[in-house]
Amino acid sequence: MALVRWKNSGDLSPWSAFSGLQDELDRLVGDFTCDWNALGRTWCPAMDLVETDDAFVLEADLPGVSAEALHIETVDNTITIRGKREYSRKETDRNVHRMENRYGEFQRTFDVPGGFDGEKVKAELSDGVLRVTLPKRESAKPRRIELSVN
Amino acid sequence: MTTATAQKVRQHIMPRVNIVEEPEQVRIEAELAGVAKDNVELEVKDGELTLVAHRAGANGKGVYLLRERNPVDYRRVFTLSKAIDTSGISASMKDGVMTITLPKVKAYQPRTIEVK
Repeated sequence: MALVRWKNSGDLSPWSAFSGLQDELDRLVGDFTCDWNALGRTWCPAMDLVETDDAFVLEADLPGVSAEALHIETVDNTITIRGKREYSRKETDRNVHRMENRYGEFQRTFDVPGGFDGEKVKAELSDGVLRVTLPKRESAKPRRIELSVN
Repeated sequence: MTTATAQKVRQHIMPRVNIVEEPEQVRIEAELAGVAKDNVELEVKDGELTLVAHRAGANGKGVYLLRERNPVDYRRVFTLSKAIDTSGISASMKDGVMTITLPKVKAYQPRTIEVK
């Protein structure tokens, strides 16, 4: 799925309603970014992707997932996050009264608009939240053009 | 008619939990991703264990391209059976999962009887 900036368009042409409808349909049908089929039954951790002036920041809720069980891969403009939460039954477990926590494998892939510098990607995990920083390429950063007045 | 404006309704979400019984204790594992240790409160009162936690929203600025995570107020109440020794309850956090250990009182722990 290609990520496109969420539109709040000021376009007043009669056709703008139709392009908006297309976006809505894409969101509903086509572009759920979880790769459900690739891994069979899985879970889909909630994620945020935020764009700032000089980077994209991806954050994911991954309770109970250790750093060793996470695999992050970038190719060109896409980033894939794959991981697994194992259920480890303790020897002494007798009765299970509730089992609501999510276990198993997950995988999500994002196509980051405009791309990022793959050499400088950083990832950290704390309190069950993964934070991946994808710095923009120099050419993609906003640049202020000085006006020279003659 | 002044009360309506003063009251702010807070919405609470129940965290997902596992509740597992062991011979000598009961274990509750609650998913609390992004909750710092200081933002969790556990209270035992009148035979109930209340878990309240808060997860702050993103403080960074920027444009959201995808937003699925929100600031959350968690709350869940567990009724404790009389088998639980309320004075011995302890909790720990790891990787966004809180494990609460509720020991059983001696009378409810299994006892092995030796056959002579």
